[in-house]
Amino acid sequence: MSALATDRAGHNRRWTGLLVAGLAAAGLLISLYLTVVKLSGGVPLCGPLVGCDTVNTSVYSEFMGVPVAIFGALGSAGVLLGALVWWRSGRRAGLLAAYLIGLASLPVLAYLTYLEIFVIGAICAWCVAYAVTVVAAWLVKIVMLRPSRGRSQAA
Amino acid sequence: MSKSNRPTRDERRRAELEDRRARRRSRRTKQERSLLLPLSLGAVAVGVVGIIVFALVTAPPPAVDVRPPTVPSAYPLADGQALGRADAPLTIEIYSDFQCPACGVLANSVKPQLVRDYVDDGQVRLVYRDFAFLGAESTAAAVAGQCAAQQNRFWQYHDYLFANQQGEDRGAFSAPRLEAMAEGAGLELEGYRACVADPTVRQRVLDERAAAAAVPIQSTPTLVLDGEQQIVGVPDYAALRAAIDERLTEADAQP
Repeated sequence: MSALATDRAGHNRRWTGLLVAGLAAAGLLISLYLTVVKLSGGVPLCGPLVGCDTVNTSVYSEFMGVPVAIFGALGSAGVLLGALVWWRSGRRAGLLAAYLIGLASLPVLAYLTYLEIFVIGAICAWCVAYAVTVVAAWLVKIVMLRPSRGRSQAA
Repeated sequence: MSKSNRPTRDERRRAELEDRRARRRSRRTKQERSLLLPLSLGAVAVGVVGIIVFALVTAPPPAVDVRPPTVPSAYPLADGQALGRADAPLTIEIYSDFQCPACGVLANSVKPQLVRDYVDDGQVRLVYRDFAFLGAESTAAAVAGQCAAQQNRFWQYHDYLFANQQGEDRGAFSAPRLEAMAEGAGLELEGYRACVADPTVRQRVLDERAAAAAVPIQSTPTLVLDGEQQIVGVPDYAALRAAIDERLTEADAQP
Protein backbone atom coordinates (compact mmCIF):
# COMPACT_ATOMS: atom_id res chain seq x y z
CA MET A 1 0.00 0.00 0.00
CA SER A 2 1.38 3.43 -0.88
CA ALA A 3 2.22 6.18 1.62
CA LEU A 4 -1.05 7.88 0.71
CA ALA A 5 -3.09 4.83 1.56
CA THR A 6 -3.44 4.67 5.35
CA ASP A 7 -2.73 6.71 8.41
CA ARG A 8 -1.60 5.73 11.89
CA ALA A 9 -5.06 4.57 12.88
CA GLY A 10 -5.11 2.33 9.87
CA HIS A 11 -7.71 4.30 7.90
CA ASN A 12 -7.65 4.35 4.17
CA ARG A 13 -7.38 8.02 3.45
CA ARG A 14 -6.75 7.91 -0.28
CA TRP A 15 -10.39 8.69 -1.07
CA THR A 16 -11.70 9.99 2.25
CA GLY A 17 -8.99 12.66 2.39
CA LEU A 18 -9.93 13.75 -1.10
CA LEU A 19 -13.61 13.69 -0.19
CA VAL A 20 -13.15 15.94 2.85
CA ALA A 21 -10.85 18.27 0.91
CA GLY A 22 -13.33 18.39 -1.98
CA LEU A 23 -16.25 19.22 0.31
CA ALA A 24 -14.21 21.92 2.04
CA ALA A 25 -13.17 23.35 -1.34
CA ALA A 26 -16.83 23.44 -2.41
CA GLY A 27 -17.73 25.21 0.84
CA LEU A 28 -14.87 27.64 0.31
CA LEU A 29 -16.06 28.48 -3.21
CA ILE A 30 -19.65 28.99 -2.06
CA SER A 31 -18.68 31.25 0.82
CA LEU A 32 -16.26 33.22 -1.35
CA TYR A 33 -19.02 33.73 -3.92
CA LEU A 34 -21.41 34.97 -1.21
CA THR A 35 -18.69 37.25 0.17
CA VAL A 36 -17.93 38.80 -3.21
CA VAL A 37 -21.63 39.31 -3.93
CA LYS A 38 -22.15 40.92 -0.54
CA LEU A 39 -19.14 43.22 -0.86
CA SER A 40 -20.16 44.28 -4.36
CA GLY A 41 -23.64 45.15 -3.14
CA GLY A 42 -25.37 42.62 -5.38
CA VAL A 43 -27.59 39.64 -4.66
CA PRO A 44 -26.67 36.00 -5.22
CA LEU A 45 -28.03 34.21 -8.27
CA CYS A 46 -30.71 31.89 -7.05
CA GLY A 47 -32.25 30.57 -10.26
CA PRO A 48 -35.87 29.57 -9.75
CA LEU A 49 -35.40 29.58 -5.98
CA VAL A 50 -36.19 32.62 -3.90
CA GLY A 51 -34.80 33.86 -0.61
CA CYS A 52 -31.12 34.37 -1.42
CA ASP A 53 -31.55 38.12 -1.74
CA THR A 54 -33.63 38.37 1.44
CA VAL A 55 -31.08 36.45 3.48
CA ASN A 56 -28.02 38.08 1.94
CA THR A 57 -29.33 41.58 2.55
CA SER A 58 -30.67 40.94 6.04
CA VAL A 59 -29.09 42.43 9.14
CA TYR A 60 -27.76 38.94 9.92
CA SER A 61 -25.63 38.79 6.79
CA GLU A 62 -23.05 41.05 8.40
CA PHE A 63 -21.12 40.92 11.63
CA MET A 64 -19.75 44.31 12.65
CA GLY A 65 -19.72 45.37 9.02
CA VAL A 66 -17.99 42.20 7.82
CA PRO A 67 -19.95 39.77 5.60
CA VAL A 68 -20.73 36.63 7.60
CA ALA A 69 -19.76 34.56 4.57
CA ILE A 70 -16.11 35.55 5.15
CA PHE A 71 -16.14 33.56 8.39
CA GLY A 72 -17.48 30.59 6.45
CA ALA A 73 -14.65 31.00 3.94
CA LEU A 74 -12.08 31.06 6.75
CA GLY A 75 -13.58 27.93 8.30
CA SER A 76 -13.65 26.06 5.02
CA ALA A 77 -10.08 27.13 4.23
CA GLY A 78 -8.99 25.76 7.60
CA VAL A 79 -10.76 22.44 6.99
CA LEU A 80 -9.30 22.23 3.49
CA LEU A 81 -5.80 22.81 4.80
CA GLY A 82 -6.18 20.23 7.57
CA ALA A 83 -7.67 17.68 5.17
CA LEU A 84 -4.82 18.18 2.69
CA VAL A 85 -2.20 17.79 5.40
CA TRP A 86 -3.83 14.56 6.52
CA TRP A 87 -4.29 13.32 2.97
CA ARG A 88 -0.74 14.04 1.87
CA SER A 89 1.24 13.11 4.97
CA GLY A 90 -1.05 10.99 7.09
CA ARG A 91 -0.57 13.39 10.01
CA ARG A 92 -3.70 13.00 12.06
CA ALA A 93 -3.24 16.47 13.56
CA GLY A 94 -4.56 17.74 10.21
CA LEU A 95 -7.64 15.55 10.47
CA LEU A 96 -8.15 16.56 14.09
CA ALA A 97 -7.88 20.28 13.24
CA ALA A 98 -10.35 19.87 10.38
CA TYR A 99 -12.72 17.98 12.68
CA LEU A 100 -12.52 20.67 15.40
CA ILE A 101 -13.12 23.52 12.95
CA GLY A 102 -16.11 21.65 11.58
CA LEU A 103 -17.42 20.98 15.08
CA ALA A 104 -17.11 24.65 16.07
CA SER A 105 -18.96 25.58 12.87
CA LEU A 106 -21.92 23.28 13.53
CA PRO A 107 -23.66 25.29 16.29
CA VAL A 108 -23.09 28.49 14.33
CA LEU A 109 -24.60 26.95 11.20
CA ALA A 110 -27.52 25.64 13.23
CA TYR A 111 -28.12 29.12 14.61
CA LEU A 112 -27.88 30.76 11.19
CA THR A 113 -30.33 28.21 9.79
CA TYR A 114 -32.68 28.94 12.69
CA LEU A 115 -32.44 32.66 11.84
CA GLU A 116 -33.22 31.94 8.19
CA ILE A 117 -36.30 29.88 8.95
CA PHE A 118 -37.78 31.56 12.01
CA VAL A 119 -36.50 35.14 12.01
CA ILE A 120 -35.77 36.17 8.43
CA GLY A 121 -38.41 33.86 7.02
CA ALA A 122 -36.42 32.97 3.89
CA ILE A 123 -34.05 30.20 2.86
CA CYS A 124 -30.89 30.86 0.91
CA ALA A 125 -30.01 27.85 -1.26
CA TRP A 126 -26.33 28.79 -1.24
CA CYS A 127 -26.31 28.84 2.54
CA VAL A 128 -28.01 25.45 2.66
CA ALA A 129 -25.48 24.05 0.20
CA TYR A 130 -22.66 25.43 2.31
CA ALA A 131 -24.13 23.85 5.44
CA VAL A 132 -24.38 20.52 3.63
CA THR A 133 -20.67 20.62 2.74
CA VAL A 134 -19.71 21.34 6.35
CA VAL A 135 -21.95 18.68 7.87
CA ALA A 136 -21.00 16.02 5.30
CA ALA A 137 -17.27 16.68 5.69
CA TRP A 138 -17.62 16.61 9.45
CA LEU A 139 -19.40 13.24 9.38
CA VAL A 140 -16.60 11.79 7.26
CA LYS A 141 -14.03 13.16 9.67
CA ILE A 142 -15.85 11.60 12.64
CA VAL A 143 -15.64 8.19 10.98
CA MET A 144 -11.97 8.73 10.22
CA LEU A 145 -11.20 9.77 13.79
CA ARG A 146 -12.54 6.50 15.19
CA PRO A 147 -9.80 3.87 15.49
CA SER A 148 -10.13 1.26 12.76
CA ARG A 149 -11.31 -2.08 14.05
CA GLY A 150 -8.38 -4.06 12.63
CA ARG A 151 -5.77 -1.71 13.99
CA SER A 152 -7.38 -1.57 17.43
CA GLN A 153 -7.31 -5.30 17.70
CA ALA A 154 -3.72 -5.38 16.50
CA ALA A 155 -2.74 -2.79 19.04
CA MET B 1 14.21 -26.19 16.27
CA SER B 2 16.64 -26.17 13.39
CA LYS B 3 19.22 -23.50 13.07
CA SER B 4 17.75 -22.29 9.75
CA ASN B 5 14.39 -21.42 11.44
CA ARG B 6 15.96 -19.08 13.94
CA PRO B 7 15.55 -15.37 13.00
CA THR B 8 18.66 -13.67 11.86
CA ARG B 9 20.00 -10.61 13.65
CA ASP B 10 18.55 -8.37 10.90
CA GLU B 11 15.15 -9.99 11.21
CA ARG B 12 15.20 -9.56 14.98
CA ARG B 13 16.18 -5.93 14.61
CA ARG B 14 13.39 -5.33 12.08
CA ALA B 15 10.88 -7.04 14.33
CA GLU B 16 12.04 -4.96 17.27
CA LEU B 17 11.76 -1.79 15.21
CA GLU B 18 8.30 -2.74 14.04
CA ASP B 19 7.28 -3.52 17.57
CA ARG B 20 8.56 -0.15 18.77
CA ARG B 21 6.68 1.61 15.99
CA ALA B 22 3.50 -0.24 16.87
CA ARG B 23 3.86 0.77 20.51
CA ARG B 24 4.46 4.40 19.49
CA ARG B 25 1.39 4.32 17.23
CA SER B 26 -0.65 2.83 20.00
CA ARG B 27 0.55 5.48 22.45
CA ARG B 28 -0.30 8.29 20.04
CA THR B 29 -3.71 6.83 19.33
CA LYS B 30 -4.46 6.64 23.06
CA GLN B 31 -3.20 10.20 23.47
CA GLU B 32 -5.42 11.36 20.62
CA ARG B 33 -8.43 9.62 22.10
CA SER B 34 -7.86 11.16 25.51
CA LEU B 35 -7.58 14.63 23.94
CA LEU B 36 -10.57 14.25 21.67
CA LEU B 37 -13.27 14.88 24.26
CA PRO B 38 -11.82 18.06 25.84
CA LEU B 39 -10.89 19.43 22.42
CA SER B 40 -14.38 18.70 21.11
CA LEU B 41 -15.97 20.41 24.09
CA GLY B 42 -13.66 23.38 23.49
CA ALA B 43 -14.67 23.56 19.83
CA VAL B 44 -18.37 23.47 20.72
CA ALA B 45 -17.76 26.20 23.32
CA VAL B 46 -16.04 28.34 20.68
CA GLY B 47 -19.05 27.91 18.40
CA VAL B 48 -21.51 28.75 21.17
CA VAL B 49 -19.55 31.84 22.22
CA GLY B 50 -19.52 32.85 18.55
CA ILE B 51 -23.30 32.57 18.45
CA ILE B 52 -23.72 34.62 21.61
CA VAL B 53 -21.45 37.40 20.35
CA PHE B 54 -23.15 37.34 16.95
CA ALA B 55 -26.60 37.45 18.55
CA LEU B 56 -25.61 40.36 20.77
CA VAL B 57 -24.08 42.35 17.93
CA THR B 58 -26.84 41.75 15.40
CA ALA B 59 -29.77 41.97 17.83
CA PRO B 60 -32.13 44.77 16.88
CA PRO B 61 -32.02 47.56 19.46
CA PRO B 62 -34.69 47.18 22.12
CA ALA B 63 -37.78 49.22 21.51
CA VAL B 64 -37.46 52.52 23.28
CA ASP B 65 -40.57 53.36 25.18
CA VAL B 66 -40.99 57.07 25.86
CA ARG B 67 -44.07 58.76 27.26
CA PRO B 68 -45.61 61.55 25.20
CA PRO B 69 -46.55 64.74 27.06
CA THR B 70 -50.02 64.62 28.57
CA VAL B 71 -51.11 67.84 26.88
CA PRO B 72 -49.42 68.24 23.50
CA SER B 73 -49.25 71.78 22.23
CA ALA B 74 -48.48 73.34 18.85
CA TYR B 75 -46.68 76.37 20.32
CA PRO B 76 -47.34 78.76 17.42
CA LEU B 77 -45.36 81.54 19.16
CA ALA B 78 -42.20 79.42 19.57
CA ASP B 79 -38.96 81.12 18.63
CA GLY B 80 -36.09 78.73 19.34
CA GLN B 81 -35.85 78.47 23.12
CA ALA B 82 -38.16 81.47 23.52
CA LEU B 83 -41.93 81.42 23.51
CA GLY B 84 -44.12 84.47 22.96
CA ARG B 85 -44.05 87.70 21.05
CA ALA B 86 -40.68 89.42 20.82
CA ASP B 87 -42.29 92.77 21.82
CA ALA B 88 -44.07 91.37 24.87
CA PRO B 89 -43.90 93.86 27.77
CA LEU B 90 -42.49 91.25 30.18
CA THR B 91 -39.79 88.62 29.64
CA ILE B 92 -39.47 85.73 32.04
CA GLU B 93 -36.30 83.66 31.87
CA ILE B 94 -36.59 80.13 33.20
CA TYR B 95 -33.29 78.67 34.44
CA SER B 96 -33.80 74.97 34.48
CA ASP B 97 -32.23 71.52 34.35
CA PHE B 98 -34.14 68.77 32.56
CA GLN B 99 -33.27 66.30 35.33
CA CYS B 100 -34.43 68.53 38.17
CA PRO B 101 -37.75 67.27 39.60
CA ALA B 102 -38.90 70.73 40.70
CA CYS B 103 -38.24 71.97 37.16
CA GLY B 104 -40.52 69.16 36.03
CA VAL B 105 -43.28 70.40 38.33
CA LEU B 106 -42.83 73.92 36.98
CA ALA B 107 -42.90 72.69 33.39
CA ASN B 108 -45.86 70.39 33.82
CA SER B 109 -48.11 72.42 36.09
CA VAL B 110 -47.15 76.12 36.15
CA LYS B 111 -45.91 76.73 32.61
CA PRO B 112 -49.15 75.60 30.87
CA GLN B 113 -51.17 78.12 32.93
CA LEU B 114 -48.57 80.81 32.24
CA VAL B 115 -48.73 80.17 28.52
CA ARG B 116 -52.52 80.17 28.51
CA ASP B 117 -52.90 83.33 30.65
CA TYR B 118 -49.99 85.50 29.52
CA VAL B 119 -47.96 84.14 26.59
CA ASP B 120 -50.77 83.42 24.15
CA ASP B 121 -52.14 86.95 24.45
CA GLY B 122 -48.72 88.55 23.96
CA GLN B 123 -48.09 89.89 27.46
CA VAL B 124 -45.20 87.61 28.42
CA ARG B 125 -42.30 86.13 26.54
CA LEU B 126 -40.72 83.03 28.11
CA VAL B 127 -37.05 82.27 27.52
CA TYR B 128 -35.69 78.89 28.54
CA ARG B 129 -32.12 79.04 29.86
CA ASP B 130 -30.10 75.85 30.23
CA PHE B 131 -28.53 75.43 33.62
CA ALA B 132 -27.52 71.81 33.18
CA PHE B 133 -25.62 71.00 36.33
CA LEU B 134 -27.04 67.80 37.78
CA GLY B 135 -25.12 65.28 35.68
CA ALA B 136 -24.12 63.98 32.29
CA GLU B 137 -27.70 63.33 31.23
CA SER B 138 -28.60 66.93 32.11
CA THR B 139 -26.02 68.08 29.58
CA ALA B 140 -27.13 65.47 27.01
CA ALA B 141 -30.75 66.54 27.37
CA ALA B 142 -29.80 70.21 27.12
CA VAL B 143 -27.79 69.53 23.95
CA ALA B 144 -30.76 67.66 22.50
CA GLY B 145 -33.01 70.55 23.51
CA GLN B 146 -30.77 73.04 21.69
CA CYS B 147 -30.94 70.80 18.63
CA ALA B 148 -34.72 70.79 18.86
CA ALA B 149 -34.56 74.59 19.05
CA GLN B 150 -32.61 74.62 15.78
CA GLN B 151 -35.64 73.00 14.19
CA ASN B 152 -37.96 75.33 16.15
CA ARG B 153 -39.50 72.45 18.04
CA PHE B 154 -37.84 73.18 21.35
CA TRP B 155 -41.04 73.48 23.39
CA GLN B 156 -42.51 70.24 22.09
CA TYR B 157 -39.21 68.56 22.95
CA HIS B 158 -39.11 70.34 26.32
CA ASP B 159 -42.49 68.80 27.16
CA TYR B 160 -41.25 65.35 26.11
CA LEU B 161 -38.19 65.65 28.33
CA PHE B 162 -40.17 66.68 31.36
CA ALA B 163 -42.72 63.94 30.73
CA ASN B 164 -39.89 61.37 30.83
CA GLN B 165 -37.88 62.43 33.85
CA GLN B 166 -36.65 59.55 36.00
CA GLY B 167 -33.96 60.28 38.57
CA GLU B 168 -30.51 61.60 37.86
CA ASP B 169 -28.28 59.91 35.28
CA ARG B 170 -30.31 56.72 35.36
CA GLY B 171 -30.76 56.35 31.63
CA ALA B 172 -33.96 58.36 31.20
CA PHE B 173 -32.02 60.66 28.89
CA SER B 174 -29.78 58.09 27.23
CA ALA B 175 -28.98 58.75 23.58
CA PRO B 176 -31.58 56.26 22.19
CA ARG B 177 -34.29 57.66 24.46
CA LEU B 178 -33.42 61.23 23.58
CA GLU B 179 -33.65 60.28 19.91
CA ALA B 180 -36.98 58.53 20.45
CA MET B 181 -38.27 61.70 22.09
CA ALA B 182 -36.92 63.73 19.18
CA GLU B 183 -38.91 61.52 16.85
CA GLY B 184 -41.98 61.87 19.04
CA ALA B 185 -41.61 65.66 19.08
CA GLY B 186 -41.56 65.69 15.29
CA LEU B 187 -37.89 66.50 14.71
CA GLU B 188 -36.15 65.67 11.48
CA LEU B 189 -33.84 62.94 12.72
CA GLU B 190 -30.86 63.27 10.39
CA GLY B 191 -30.49 66.91 11.29
CA TYR B 192 -31.00 66.05 14.96
CA ARG B 193 -28.26 63.41 14.87
CA ALA B 194 -25.81 65.73 13.16
CA CYS B 195 -26.59 68.44 15.70
CA VAL B 196 -26.15 66.32 18.84
CA ALA B 197 -22.79 65.13 17.47
CA ASP B 198 -21.67 68.73 16.95
CA PRO B 199 -19.22 69.72 19.74
CA THR B 200 -20.08 73.41 19.40
CA VAL B 201 -23.63 72.73 20.58
CA ARG B 202 -22.34 70.98 23.69
CA GLN B 203 -19.96 73.88 24.26
CA ARG B 204 -22.88 76.29 24.05
CA VAL B 205 -24.67 74.34 26.79
CA LEU B 206 -21.56 74.49 28.97
CA ASP B 207 -21.20 78.21 28.29
CA GLU B 208 -24.85 78.79 29.27
CA ARG B 209 -24.26 76.98 32.53
CA ALA B 210 -21.27 79.21 33.27
CA ALA B 211 -23.28 82.30 32.35
CA ALA B 212 -26.15 81.21 34.63
CA ALA B 213 -23.75 80.66 37.50
CA ALA B 214 -22.41 84.16 36.91
CA VAL B 215 -25.90 85.79 37.17
CA PRO B 216 -25.82 84.24 39.86
CA ILE B 217 -28.34 81.45 39.62
CA GLN B 218 -27.93 79.13 42.58
CA SER B 219 -30.62 76.53 42.10
CA THR B 220 -33.24 75.37 39.68
CA PRO B 221 -35.81 76.29 38.77
CA THR B 222 -35.28 80.02 39.00
CA LEU B 223 -37.49 82.51 37.18
CA VAL B 224 -36.05 85.91 36.39
CA LEU B 225 -38.58 88.61 35.56
CA ASP B 226 -37.23 91.28 33.21
CA GLY B 227 -33.70 90.47 34.29
CA GLU B 228 -34.34 91.93 37.74
CA GLN B 229 -36.59 89.91 40.01
CA GLN B 230 -35.68 86.33 40.85
CA ILE B 231 -38.25 83.79 41.94
CA VAL B 232 -36.47 80.67 43.20
CA GLY B 233 -38.18 77.29 43.24
CA VAL B 234 -41.64 76.38 42.02
CA PRO B 235 -43.83 79.41 42.68
CA ASP B 236 -47.40 79.25 43.84
CA TYR B 237 -49.29 80.24 40.72
CA ALA B 238 -51.35 82.93 42.48
CA ALA B 239 -48.17 84.52 43.84
CA LEU B 240 -46.56 84.32 40.41
CA ARG B 241 -49.61 85.95 38.84
CA ALA B 242 -49.41 88.78 41.37
CA ALA B 243 -45.74 89.34 40.58
CA ILE B 244 -46.38 89.30 36.84
CA ASP B 245 -49.39 91.60 37.07
CA GLU B 246 -47.40 94.06 39.16
CA ARG B 247 -44.64 94.08 36.53
CA LEU B 248 -47.14 94.52 33.71
CA THR B 249 -48.83 97.40 35.54
CA GLU B 250 -45.44 99.06 35.96
CA ALA B 251 -44.71 98.55 32.29
CA ASP B 252 -48.09 100.08 31.37
CA ALA B 253 -47.44 103.07 33.57
CA GLN B 254 -44.16 103.84 31.83
CA PRO B 255 -44.53 106.39 29.02
